[in-house]
Amino acid sequence: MSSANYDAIIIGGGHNGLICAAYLAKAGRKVLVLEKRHVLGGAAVSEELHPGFTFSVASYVVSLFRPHIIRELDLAKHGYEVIPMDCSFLPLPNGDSLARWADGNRSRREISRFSRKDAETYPEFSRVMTHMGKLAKAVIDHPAPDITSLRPAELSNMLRLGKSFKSLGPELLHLNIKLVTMSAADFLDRWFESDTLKAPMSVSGIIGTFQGVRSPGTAYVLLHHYMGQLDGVFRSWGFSKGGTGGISMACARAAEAFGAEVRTNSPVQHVLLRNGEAKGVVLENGDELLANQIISNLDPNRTYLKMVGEEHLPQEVANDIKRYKLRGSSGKVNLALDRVPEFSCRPGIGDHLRGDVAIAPSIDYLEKAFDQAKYGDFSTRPYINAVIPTLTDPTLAPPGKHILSCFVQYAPYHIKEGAENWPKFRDAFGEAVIDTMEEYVPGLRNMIIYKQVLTPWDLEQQMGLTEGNIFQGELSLEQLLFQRPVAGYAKYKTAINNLWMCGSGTHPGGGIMGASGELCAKTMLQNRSV
Amino acid sequence: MEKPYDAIIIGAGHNGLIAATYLGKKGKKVVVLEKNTFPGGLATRTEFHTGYRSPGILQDSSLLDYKVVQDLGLESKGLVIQNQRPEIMLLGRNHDEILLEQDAEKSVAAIARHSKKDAQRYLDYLQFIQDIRPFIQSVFSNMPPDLSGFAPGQVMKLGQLGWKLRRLGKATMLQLLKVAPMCVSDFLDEYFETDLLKSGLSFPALLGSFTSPRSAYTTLNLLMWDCRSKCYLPGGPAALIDSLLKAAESLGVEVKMDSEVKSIHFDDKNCVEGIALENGDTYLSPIVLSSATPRHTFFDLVPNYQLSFELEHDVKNYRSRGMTAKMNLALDRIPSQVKASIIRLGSDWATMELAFDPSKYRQIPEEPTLELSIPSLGDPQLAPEGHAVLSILAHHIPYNLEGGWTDAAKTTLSQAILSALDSYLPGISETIVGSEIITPQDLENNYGLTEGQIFHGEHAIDQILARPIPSCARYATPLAGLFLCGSGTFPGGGITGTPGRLAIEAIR
Amino acid sequence: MPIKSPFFPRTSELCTSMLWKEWAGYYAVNSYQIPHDAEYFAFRESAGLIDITPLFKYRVTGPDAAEYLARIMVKDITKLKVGRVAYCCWCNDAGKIIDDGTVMRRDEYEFFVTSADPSFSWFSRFTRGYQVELEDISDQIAALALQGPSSRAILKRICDADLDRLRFFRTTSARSGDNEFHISRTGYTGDLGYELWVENKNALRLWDAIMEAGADYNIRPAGLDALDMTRVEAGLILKDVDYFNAQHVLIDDRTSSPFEVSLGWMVDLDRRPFIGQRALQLEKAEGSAWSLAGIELEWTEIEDLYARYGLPPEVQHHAWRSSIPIYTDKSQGKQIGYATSGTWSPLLKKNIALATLQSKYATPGTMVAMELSVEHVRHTVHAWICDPQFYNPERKRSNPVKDIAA
Repeated sequence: MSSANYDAIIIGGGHNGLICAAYLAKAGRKVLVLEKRHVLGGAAVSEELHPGFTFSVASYVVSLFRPHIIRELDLAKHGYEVIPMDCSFLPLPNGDSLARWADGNRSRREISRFSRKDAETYPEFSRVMTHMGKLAKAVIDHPAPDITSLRPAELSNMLRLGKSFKSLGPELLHLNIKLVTMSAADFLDRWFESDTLKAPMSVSGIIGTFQGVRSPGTAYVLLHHYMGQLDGVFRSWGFSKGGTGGISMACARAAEAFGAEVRTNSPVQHVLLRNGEAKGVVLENGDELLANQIISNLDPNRTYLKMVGEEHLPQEVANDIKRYKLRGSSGKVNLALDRVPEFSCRPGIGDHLRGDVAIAPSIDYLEKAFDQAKYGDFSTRPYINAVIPTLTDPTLAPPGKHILSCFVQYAPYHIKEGAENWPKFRDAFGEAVIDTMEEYVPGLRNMIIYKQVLTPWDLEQQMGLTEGNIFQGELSLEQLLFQRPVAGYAKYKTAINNLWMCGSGTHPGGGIMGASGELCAKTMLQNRSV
Repeated sequence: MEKPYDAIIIGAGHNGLIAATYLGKKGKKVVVLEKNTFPGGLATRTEFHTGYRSPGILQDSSLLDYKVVQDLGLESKGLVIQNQRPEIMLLGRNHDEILLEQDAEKSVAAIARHSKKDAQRYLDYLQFIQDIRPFIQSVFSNMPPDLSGFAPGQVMKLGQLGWKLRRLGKATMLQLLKVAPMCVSDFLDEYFETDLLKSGLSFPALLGSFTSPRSAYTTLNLLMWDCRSKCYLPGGPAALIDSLLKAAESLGVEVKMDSEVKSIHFDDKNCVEGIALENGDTYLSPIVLSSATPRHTFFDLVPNYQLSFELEHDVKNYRSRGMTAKMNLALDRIPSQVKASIIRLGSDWATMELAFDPSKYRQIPEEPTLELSIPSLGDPQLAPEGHAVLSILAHHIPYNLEGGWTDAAKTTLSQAILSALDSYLPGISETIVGSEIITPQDLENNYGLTEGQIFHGEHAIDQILARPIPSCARYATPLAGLFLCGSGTFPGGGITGTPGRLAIEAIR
Repeated sequence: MPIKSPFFPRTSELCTSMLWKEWAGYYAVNSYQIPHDAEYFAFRESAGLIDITPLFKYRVTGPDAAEYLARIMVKDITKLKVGRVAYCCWCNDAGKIIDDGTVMRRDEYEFFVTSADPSFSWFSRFTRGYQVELEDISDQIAALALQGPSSRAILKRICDADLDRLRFFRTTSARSGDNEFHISRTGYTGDLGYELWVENKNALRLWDAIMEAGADYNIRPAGLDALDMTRVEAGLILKDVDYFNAQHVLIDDRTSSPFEVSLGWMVDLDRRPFIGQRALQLEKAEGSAWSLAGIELEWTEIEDLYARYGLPPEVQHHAWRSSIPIYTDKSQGKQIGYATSGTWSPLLKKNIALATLQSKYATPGTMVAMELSVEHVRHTVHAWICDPQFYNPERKRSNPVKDIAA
């Protein structure tokens, strides 16, 4: 063989890269992970931004992390710990509020205040969505079937999916078509009448996308809330102990325990090509590292256009990558507070704060936030998903002090002034978020000890997420399954020999699931590529 | 009470008349019952100002299913049909224009004046349409796929569909799969750079659906239109009705005006036995075909206890939000700027989005997106010689306007349309001698369109594949003897006649 | 976090056992004392009083109320006369049960409906086109069941209603001093008994009046454990135990039609269409795959099994509700169904259970075998198929005054 020092080098130490490394190392391969930053985790990272305060800087909650990965990599032994959330809390500007609990009867009574019908329809909706979730699970736990191929393996793959569809029965099959194509708002209209319930439910359809709740195609992400239950978890959303970086660190420790080498502060400049094949990587410091296989945890745009270079790509692949849409739409405001932020509509430090808090008072509110983004402005009254992780995991802050972490949408990467001008608007964006929160948490501004504002531009600069897209590419149907990231190269193998991808920009993509990293490693091992 | 009919058809719109004529051709005893005093539904000429007649609500006749024309011998009944799409003029606010003609070379030349790149890409675009046309046409002119189960026959049919898709060739198939779910703005952005061209081409993607150019799946609507739009009726949709009435009459089909159906009756076995009119008359028949909207049919005509939960639930949730208003103008001259009978007032994506946004909040947009036609150019009987009728479809005008469609709201809408019009066609206001505004509410009141939806239900992919609802997706309904044959069935609204034709195939 | 019923101030004081459970979002007493035998015998020998407020309650009013309910219910409610009560269930389009409850016709245009699950959403889906108003009054009305042979005598002492003439499954309004409430001669014990429906604000006064009047009759507050034993004896099925809400289950196999749970008698098939009619007509014509039956375990075999270990036979003090396989014979040849709930009947001195069986095995008198674990080992014992109404006393239906026209 060659003089390569490694069986595989993984560019990027995000959770998917680390999981991929762990699986390969577990199979006895010699693996090196190269992380540009001083910390591991990519977007799933914990950092002590202010003395004593550990923030989940970007990604902040966990829902769909694949349980079999935890089993197979023994992640719990390496520090993986996720504490389920108690509640989804929706403060309303009129002084009312809605809390949805794990206790069904308690939720029913809360929702009844807005609509008795909706309160009762909720379990029925859950039943239907659980069915659909089965199908989604069949999709995310396997490589995407290539519907353009007639090879027996692909056909049997499709047959397996076909069987999952068949098991739905006609009623749910039709509903599935609706789920994939309808807007979250329209889909929820089929069941519910209360805006107060629909608005916070609908937002799961838009998180990380450049779409509004009334945009067709946003309904299917609603499923994610129901898939967790299929994994044997009662409540699907949770906080990672030590911040989301805790998950990445557990993955890193697992990888190392299996023998992988993990280096931080090692930015890769580009992929080393010989005769059109990937042979290694060149670091920014000029070092060359050789490996039989190169795996990129970076997004498709960065992998193909920066690490490889357009000139080395087949024309149609270059074209497809250029039409691959990233368009980040969200930002993050992380606050260190000197006390627990109390909501005027439900004062006190109750269980309602030990979950996520949604600023999503109505469908129109969310849609108007999107309207602004369409024309290149950030939302002045955005959708915010806030958490106070310190109520669940007090180790994140000094005693009595707290963290308020706000995921904010919409903050379009392409503001009309041009993305590179985002730094000029960063403060205004942060102020809009604090203003919005202060309408519900009077005096919030005076509690702030430290503030970090991350615009999509910052996410791109700091984390290397092209256009600040938190999912490494929009989750629209034409960019999913056999088309993620591009048709023909949707099975982790890229258009360059010996170059692979394992990030969210591959199937199934998005969120802290770990599935892309796992499936990439398993595909490579199965094909005896490594 | 008379001898029973073989079939009763509710509504003398084009689909009702087509279904009736097909049945008449089979020698069946058929009666068509129309609530209005005139036949034609949305394709009816009405005098809106002394000496000026509008061509009806729908102005696009280019989608007409030629098989209907052939099967029913409509040309021999006086229908003049040209086998090419009419020219379309895209007009910009700064008086830019692009004339899209049948002759691709001429269109290319017109586009080249704006962008050489776009001119070249236009040929690519046409080629793509050309490539996928056989598949799209085949899908939309046959019985819809049966998605209700997985019996071998059904699977085979789906397999055939898949095979047809593959036969397009891998590259074309991949491109179709890639672009179909996309929003039309992204799709057209991949081809073109000229705003006027992009916005102008996108119009058919938006008509009759609750979407803007940035909405996913709008590309599919555009492709559905572009692949099927290929003929032209100089006499407009109303000429189709004229010929259909003659054909129906010659086959002994009875067409009765002023006969509003009040209810559909069922016998002890819950099978259709006939209908009753508002005036108390009854008609007997074991088969009733309704070309009325699905919701009107099931919620107003069928006794509620006949509906299963599924039917009740699905009909209620069938999305049918009216988003279109109509304005007819009588002009004392033919506008000099106009070079085609169809004119789309183009702009750019942001302007079109701005026109859409207010409708979400039940408001009238300040600058509505307008599609014009001058039907009097093809049908001289609509206006005095030298004069013209300008027929305007305004997009994104909400049915459920906040505060309702009061006279003041109508005035606001008229002014918004006229002011937009004036900025594109300066001086046109001086030539107006009469006008008529038709709001979505008027469309519901006068034409029985549920929520004023001109296509009897939104064109969204789930509502096209199983139109209107899964249990009625192939014209037959769960109620024995009741069939649907209107625009609320596959393949949807517009002057195609395909629903009327295919509905007959569902009757055993 | 359950909430408290209006009777909580009394029930919480009396519940010395501290044994509570959650019932439809309310705190509910399992048993007031340990053991609960006294509560069981109160139902059978004197009178037991149980808080049934957690039931869901609806008022349906308007000229089309009967027509409307007839569309939802498997029973033809248009035929229900004023003052009568119907026990009935409602189904989905597939003819599978969603829930069961009682429908009381209080007036020509006024009905009162109870259910086990929240049903407002389901009921409200069918109001289109009817002149009818549907109101969820679950939170406004408290409810008590007074069950047992002395219940009539106790109730007569506190109210003006003509209880001697109030027949089984009839309802009437009543007044106790200035306290107004409704009485229905219904219950879940299979014995003489009444259910009382009262506004929340008058609830405690009613409780106190009954307890005071019942003192001479050895009345006892009773909990759900005792109720569960009596309902099995009476062969009354329970949602989420003997059948499941068809709108909530994940697979069709878990659904049941009325015919499959012995409620076929309440289905009025040949009438105007109602929800589930077509499927039920088809099932009626083709026969049902499953049937609900009572089974009686062979006591001597149980004795013998325990004897093998040198033990006296043990009876369970609680009714049980877990799924237990039933076979054609003791060698566990073929599983033909499963028992869903059962109890030791202290009155009948029998081990009885309710079981769902393949229809051809459900004929009374058939011998089958049921699994029984003794000392950690699974055994099987013989059991006989019988009518699920194991206990059905004459007093349940009879009236002291016989002059009432049918």
